[in-house]
Amino acid sequence: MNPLLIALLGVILLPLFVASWRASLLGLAGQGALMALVLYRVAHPLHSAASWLALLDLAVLRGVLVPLVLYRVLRARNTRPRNDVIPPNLISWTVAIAMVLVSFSFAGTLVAASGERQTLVAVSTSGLMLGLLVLSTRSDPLSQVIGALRVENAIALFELGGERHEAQALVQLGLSAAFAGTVVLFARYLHTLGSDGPAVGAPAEAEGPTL
Amino acid sequence: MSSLGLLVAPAMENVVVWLRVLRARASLVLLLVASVVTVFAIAQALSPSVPPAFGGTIVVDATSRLFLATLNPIFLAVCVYIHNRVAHSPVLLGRMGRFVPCALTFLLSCNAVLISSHLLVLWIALEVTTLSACPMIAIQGTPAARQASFRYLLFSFIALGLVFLGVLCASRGLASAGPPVMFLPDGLAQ
Repeated sequence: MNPLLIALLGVILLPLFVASWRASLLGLAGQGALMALVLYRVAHPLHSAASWLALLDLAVLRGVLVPLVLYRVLRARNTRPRNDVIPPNLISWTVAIAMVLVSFSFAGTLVAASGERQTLVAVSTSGLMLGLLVLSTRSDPLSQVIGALRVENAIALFELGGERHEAQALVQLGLSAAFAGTVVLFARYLHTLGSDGPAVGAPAEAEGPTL
Repeated sequence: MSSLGLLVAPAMENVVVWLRVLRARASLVLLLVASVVTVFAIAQALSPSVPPAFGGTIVVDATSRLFLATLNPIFLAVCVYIHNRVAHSPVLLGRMGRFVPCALTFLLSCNAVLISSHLLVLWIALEVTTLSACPMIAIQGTPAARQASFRYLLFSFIALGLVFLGVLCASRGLASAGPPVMFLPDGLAQ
């Protein structure tokens, strides 16, 4: 599993240094696909409906549908190709690398025995911290959405480690539906707000009576 | 049984309000449903004991009773205000077709949060409150309203994600201590 986790770390890190929203979406798709592979290896053979739903959630929803929906919205809006998810300067890049090192150090403290579980905690902590870094350094809607989805993927990865509890199929379905509903709303806001937010100095729309 | 009424009544009316005939009277439908649900909630609050339903997933305990008896009357008061407001400003009538389903979903999920004892179901219900509140915030359709709604969704999404992480950590901690984790408060208490 370690090569998978290392590849996952690469997929988490690389889009930070490639200033393109296509790379960010490709990164999200890669995270979904790799997490599905990790789950398949951890839970193989898949016995319960909940496990299959979890696999579909990672592979299809996070790996394909979410990036595809966002891609269609951004393409329809003719979003300019360049999008820095963190400020393009040496300080931000150093902070990003430092966060990965701190995550590995944290995982070493949290999980004493070195091995796959320790690496999984390290990679998920890296994903969480880098997602929070994106959220804290950029204020445009597109970067914020990508940051939020990075955080959510990191939490999903953390869920894969340790002892697996078999969530009921309905609960698993509910979790996936809630995630899908949130992404649909995010796509709608990206469509209406634009990837850079409302234009500065745009005339304010007349407001009607409020409830 | 009446604890299910807290969830079923808004869900049923949510379907009904999509009918074109009733959409014109959406605020009245909202008021009626809020009244029915408030009656159910007060009945729950006054009943001495309610047996758990769905294998312990729905439990009406003392805390649930307190908040059911507080939240639902407040929601009813809000519905009275909305009905009155719409009656005096017919311009608002056009928005009610979108507003009422969201408000009913919000009520349903709030009640689900209060009576659910399964942490993951509770988390899903909390997420649904966010998903139903966002369209209500952006209902005016102005850039400021949309921006506020987007920010609300973003903060809630991240906050609920961190809550979910907390639930996972709690389950890991309990699992390492020995007893099986059922994601129920009773299990946590043991």
